Amino acid sequence: MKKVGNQSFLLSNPVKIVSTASIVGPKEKEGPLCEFFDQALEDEFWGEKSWEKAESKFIKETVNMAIAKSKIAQTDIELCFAGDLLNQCISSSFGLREINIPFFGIFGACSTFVEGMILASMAIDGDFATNVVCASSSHFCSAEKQFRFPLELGNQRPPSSQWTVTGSGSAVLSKNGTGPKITILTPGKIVDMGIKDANNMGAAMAGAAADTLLTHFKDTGRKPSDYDAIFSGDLGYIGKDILIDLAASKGYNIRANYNDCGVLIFDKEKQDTHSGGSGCGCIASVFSGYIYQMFQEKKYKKVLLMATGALMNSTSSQQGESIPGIAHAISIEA
Amino acid sequence: MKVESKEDYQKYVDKKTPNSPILKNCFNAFLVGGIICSIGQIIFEFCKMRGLEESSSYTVVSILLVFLSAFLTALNIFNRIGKFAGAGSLVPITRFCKFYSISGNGI
Amino acid sequence: MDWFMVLKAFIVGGLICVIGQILIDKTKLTSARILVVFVTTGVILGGLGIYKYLLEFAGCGASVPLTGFGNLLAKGTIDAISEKGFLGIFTGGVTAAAGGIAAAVFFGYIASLVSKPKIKKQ
Repeated sequence: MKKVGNQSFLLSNPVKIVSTASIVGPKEKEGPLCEFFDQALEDEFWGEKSWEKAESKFIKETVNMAIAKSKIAQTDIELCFAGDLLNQCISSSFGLREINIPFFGIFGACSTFVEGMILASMAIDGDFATNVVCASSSHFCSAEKQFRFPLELGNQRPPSSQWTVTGSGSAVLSKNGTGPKITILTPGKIVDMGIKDANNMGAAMAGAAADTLLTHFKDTGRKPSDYDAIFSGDLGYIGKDILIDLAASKGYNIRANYNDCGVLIFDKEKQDTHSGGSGCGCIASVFSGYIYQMFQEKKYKKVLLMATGALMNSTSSQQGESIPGIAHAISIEA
Repeated sequence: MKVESKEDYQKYVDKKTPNSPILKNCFNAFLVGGIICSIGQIIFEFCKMRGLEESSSYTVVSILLVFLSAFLTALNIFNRIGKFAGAGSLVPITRFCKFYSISGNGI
Repeated sequence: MDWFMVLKAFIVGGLICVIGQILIDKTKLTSARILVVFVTTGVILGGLGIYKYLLEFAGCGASVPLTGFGNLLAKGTIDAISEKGFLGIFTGGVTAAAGGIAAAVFFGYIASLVSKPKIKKQ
């Protein structure tokens, strides 16, 4: 039985992350992690006529790049798990329509990337596939148009709001080969803390993040200090603080080695991104670029990667619903 | 930090979440809103000097301000004013036009 | 040029915007809802015959903010009812505001044709 504790799963054969690729937009290019991305673009249209088409191009090129880097033939990749923030995940389905690999479109909001890696690991460890590619993307302009207001309206953003990352990340997972290994999966449950403010996603998702994080520690018997680093996807500055408090209230001190990808990807002062980056592309690009390279440079040996998502849409917000959160975590070891 | 219920959590989040700089925002809104209305008044006075009656002058003011806001939106300047001025650009009728210009752009 | 009138327009218009700003910062109302609050307030104050005093005092300081638009709708409706009777309820408001509405639609359309959507420069 692979299950460990309440909701974690120990892989009998750790799955290798054989290659990754990340492509980001202009604002991310000006951020602190710019040198870690494979490609950073000068404009958010990338030669396309609409932002949605651009986002499709992001995810398509990222997946192609990851597959090329893996040195595995495209025909040997058996499954693809991908998703994004747009309605009906058109960014992924349109972007990957020529990929010729059996495709699972998935939605976990901003937790999609790790959700994909969990499902891919299960497929590989369950002997359903040998090589699987995962990807996810987000685009600031298409997300604002769908979730908030058209950009030209010039609305003010409160200090708790976050900036959707324009970027995509992709990873090729395999039973064989070399690379950092996924060893433990802790899929998350939906946790609704009752937050209704769509401008304060970090607070909305922090409850789910705490739930998954603490469950992971209890299930595995591990402590925060067992990891070189713990990363959350896009809680932002406010959500990060809240998660530290929530974990501390249950006896887990994560302050020393915990950080958030949304906090890392932008420079808060210079780029005016308020509470930090968000979106599927946030953890996807930061992991595929920065964190993966830290593994290759042997700066990390054990990392807990936890993606967080806010499961809402523009209708639910307008109807006065609260914002349920979800967080999926995987343990990655060198 | 005790979080026993959703109400507790909301109170805790309210404490943790920084507030908008309201005094600065109100000052900027006052300034920009006032300027837009002053420009309107100057246009109005001009129309009156030309002999136009009051209600027509008010109509000319709104047409010209709406034109200005469409023009500045097309030049991608209006959203920068909007970020600075908040309600100062939202409340005057200039905002009225934006919903139309953006619907074309938004596609 | 009545510069005193321009000054009054500046102050009153600015103050009405400050009320809007307080609504933005202190409440969770979206910008669209705030605009609706302003227009509706203008309609009510116009219908009660109160808004015209602010208009006389501050000119464009009262007519340019959306409360002025609401007042215009109310005034137009009232005038049309006295001229056309029942039909005026439907025709009056929009007729009075026709200039601004037509300008918004027309210039908005032209702007969307000649420009491209751009990311916020922030």
